[in-house]
Amino acid sequence: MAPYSILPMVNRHLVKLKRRGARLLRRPERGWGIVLALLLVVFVVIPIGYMAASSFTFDSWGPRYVRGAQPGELTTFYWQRVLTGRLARAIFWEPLLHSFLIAVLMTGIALPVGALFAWLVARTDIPFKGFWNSALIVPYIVPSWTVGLAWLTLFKNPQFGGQPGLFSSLFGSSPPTWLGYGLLPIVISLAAHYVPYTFILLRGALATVDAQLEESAEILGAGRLEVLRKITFPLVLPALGSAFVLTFGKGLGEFATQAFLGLPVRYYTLSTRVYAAFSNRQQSEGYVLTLILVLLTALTVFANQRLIGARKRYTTISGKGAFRKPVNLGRWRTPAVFLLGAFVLLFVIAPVGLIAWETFMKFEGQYSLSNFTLHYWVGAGDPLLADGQPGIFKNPVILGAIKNSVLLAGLTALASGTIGIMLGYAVVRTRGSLLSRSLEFLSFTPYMIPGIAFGGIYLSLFARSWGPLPALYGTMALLVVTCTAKYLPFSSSSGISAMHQIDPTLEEAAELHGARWGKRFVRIILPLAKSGFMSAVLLTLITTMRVLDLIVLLVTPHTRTMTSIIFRFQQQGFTQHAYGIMLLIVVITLFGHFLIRRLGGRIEF
Amino acid sequence: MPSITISGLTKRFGSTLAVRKLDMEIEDGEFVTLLGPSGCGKTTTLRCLAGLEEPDEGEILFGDRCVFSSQKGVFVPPGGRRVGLVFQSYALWPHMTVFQNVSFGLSKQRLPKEEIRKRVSEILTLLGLQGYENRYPSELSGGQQQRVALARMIVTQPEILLFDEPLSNLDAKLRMTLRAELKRLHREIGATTVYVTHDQLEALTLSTRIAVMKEGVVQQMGTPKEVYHFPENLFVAEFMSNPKTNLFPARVVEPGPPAACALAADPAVRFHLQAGPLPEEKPLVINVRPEDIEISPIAGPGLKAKVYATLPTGGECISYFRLEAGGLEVVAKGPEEEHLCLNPNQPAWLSFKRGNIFNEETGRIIASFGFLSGEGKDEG
Ligand SMILES: Nc1ncnc2c1ncn2[C@@H]1O[C@H](COP(=O)(O)OP(=O)(O)OP(=O)(O)O)[C@@H](O)[C@H]1O
Ligand SMILES: [Mg+2]
Repeated sequence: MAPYSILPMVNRHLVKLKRRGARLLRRPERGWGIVLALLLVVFVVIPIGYMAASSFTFDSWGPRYVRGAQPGELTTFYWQRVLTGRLARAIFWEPLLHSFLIAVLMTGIALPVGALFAWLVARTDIPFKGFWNSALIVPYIVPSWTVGLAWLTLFKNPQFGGQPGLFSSLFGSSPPTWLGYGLLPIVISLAAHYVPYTFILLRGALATVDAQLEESAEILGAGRLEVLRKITFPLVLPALGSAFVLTFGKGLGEFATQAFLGLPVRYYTLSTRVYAAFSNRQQSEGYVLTLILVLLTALTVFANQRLIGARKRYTTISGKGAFRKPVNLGRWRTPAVFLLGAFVLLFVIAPVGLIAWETFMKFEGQYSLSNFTLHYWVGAGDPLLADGQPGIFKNPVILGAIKNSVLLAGLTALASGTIGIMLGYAVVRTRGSLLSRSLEFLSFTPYMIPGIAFGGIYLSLFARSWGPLPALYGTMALLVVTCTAKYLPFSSSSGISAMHQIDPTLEEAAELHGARWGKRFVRIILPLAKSGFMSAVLLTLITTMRVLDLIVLLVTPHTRTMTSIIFRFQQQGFTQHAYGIMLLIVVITLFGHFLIRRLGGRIEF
Repeated sequence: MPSITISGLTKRFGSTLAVRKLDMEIEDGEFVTLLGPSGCGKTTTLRCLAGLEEPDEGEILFGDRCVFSSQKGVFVPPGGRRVGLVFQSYALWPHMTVFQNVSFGLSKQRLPKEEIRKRVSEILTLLGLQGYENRYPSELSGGQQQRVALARMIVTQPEILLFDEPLSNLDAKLRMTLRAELKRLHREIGATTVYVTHDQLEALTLSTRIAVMKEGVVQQMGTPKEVYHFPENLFVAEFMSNPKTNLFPARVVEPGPPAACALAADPAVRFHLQAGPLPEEKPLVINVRPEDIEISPIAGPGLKAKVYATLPTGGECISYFRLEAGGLEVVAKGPEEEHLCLNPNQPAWLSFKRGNIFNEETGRIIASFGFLSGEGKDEG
């Protein structure tokens, strides 16, 4: 090309660049989206990739196991060790079986019970509906291991540490081990936690089934049961399927309950095996187990995606909301009330009551009035009680943990809320583009990774420094990053739905008035997204307050939180302290949930 | 096909009285429309007929079969009433194909498979839906969904057809087509039909008789012409008119006939009506429909007014006037050539071709004027 034509060409490119720059300033969602996508890659994709790669290379301990192995050398040693090795049965297959058993049984109980409750409350003339609507979901608001801990106060066995529980005091003999630890109590306490989950999902699905669909069948001569079987049930089947796979997936990944009720009797599951591997510094084994756990959970999530597809097809038509005639329970009314009442009594009132009671007992296991004390709340240290640990409100370690928890929850909620709104904005405004889809997909991936596995991944990744990034292990920042990343699916979906409510024309109108992007965001987008934002922030807040599995591998004495201190105290036998902190968490989560209800936000996570 | 007799029907929801002491006689093969503003109890009445609601009081007879009686304690459930119902939202089962939707009622009757197939395909052909058997409702257009809902209702050959605003989710054009189709269907099947709508045009075009309802009470029941031309009270007069009708508060000066009246807003303005004798000194309301107002650009006997807006609707025109006396607003409707010659702010003279006279206090009709004898009565 002749030299004289270069100048105009350069010029043209400059103009083009300038125009691009101006557009980026005017409509920054693309640039913004790209930055977010990069962040997601760094904090979600790379960790998984890093772990997968690490599971196939010898670590620094490699030479100890395999003669001549070089750290960093490619190998399938760890996979073989976990899947087929001499210890495979103990490390992997048995825990896998246990995990499946727990998930299957727990889902098998939670699903029908939750569905029955949903039907009773949504469709029949059962009295006190408002009360059931609030009370039945309490087990899902408080930490999943609340019932598990309360269970221990009943059926604890001194043989496995600590003092005898209520059962021993009443009957003078230790309860059978199978009643106190292992499969049965784990299944029951997890089921109690997940009954409300099915309840919430199905209650929503039942509410969206148009009453007229059922009435049409009735007019054509179908009876009550036939309508239920041929119309209602098929219509809520996809939702029921969702509840099934999601509960199942969560059951596979649950950690805390399995740890409290399983570890004392060496009843291992995949999740507690992951924990054991990492805390025993068997990283590579942990990687393999984590990857398997992630894979299993991801499979359930994909199964759910298919079901959601089916659900969409079912909800395309819906009429003017007709008033619905509730089903007359007739003589089943009283039994139904008793059933729901029993659930609330056994899994809401009793656990919280037992946990509270425990904190007022001077000596554990002595259920008498003379044993009452406030020592564990406000007492100064007494060398005869709990190794001289001062009461909760006098205890610098616990107070520090409370401070850490509040700090962690606050920072995480703020970070999640902000990222959620930004993600929502970028996803909604670039709708239809590859960027939008990848952002949505990437922000969803942490959903497929159980908390304990997620913690393991971050532990392995941030125990060392990466270029300019120092080793984050042991800092509060690591906990905040971990929780924020793990809760991305929730915060981004909240952000996206909040942004969906805001018509782009609202922003365009401001643009016509010459409002710059920053101003538009602050003056129009944020105020309109506020209530969605607030309830999402609050939910993240209480979820972080009660989280254990995600951070249990990452805390250090310096960054201890309320939940991790419960875990430690419970293992060390400082039961009253542990239960007292537990009670605080229960109160905080319930209160936070109350606020969210006030704001009209969603409560399932 | 049975007639329908409703007597003393009352339905409460908590403290709201949705239907109060409703009496209605519907002859066999009739097409009766329940018409009224939102919340007046149309749907509730219909649902009581279908058996989806249990009324608190009253009696419903289909022919001489009692399907509900609060006194005798009779309540026939919906499935046993031989009625068909089409909802506003169609209520097609989204998890079933068109064929499964339509055959649902037949499979209840334990007919052989072949028979079911035959009947369904007959009905689908009748409604122009052949070839859609295996589609799901979400794969159909609004009009097609509505036809499937119709097919599902009539395939079981119910004796009574009930419709709850079946066309209101469709666009204007489709609504016209389906109206014609409904009329044809009704003629072919001959089933006694009760049809709920709040669109007065729909009621006028479809029904053999219209029942105008307000707050759970039937205000008037009659042929479309009766209800349109001789509303029994002010509510019916106002409700049946589109655009809104003209109401002139007035007072009788000479009882007549012809009666002379003075506008309440300005007693100096007088006009004559071909009616009488009218009660003197009683406050009246004179109702003249927009199409019954004659406009003259030349000074004449009518009321002097100024046009302030003319809205051509293609062929016809709706014009808004303001009376010089009292500033009352008047709406007139008529052929375009009459209206478009009016210039804004140029005076025009309005006279009343025909109308109705109501007692202002009770709202009840006293007299009519300007109708030829027999006009507006049922042609029989
Ligand atoms: N199941 C119910 N529970 C409580 N109130 C009801 C119920 N069904 C109807 N109502 C009330 O009864 C009155 C009549 O309702 P209905 O549905 O019959 O009105 P409608 O004439 O069909 O109105 P629309 O034109 O809006 O459909 C309304 O005030 C309504 O709010
Ligand atoms: Mg209605």
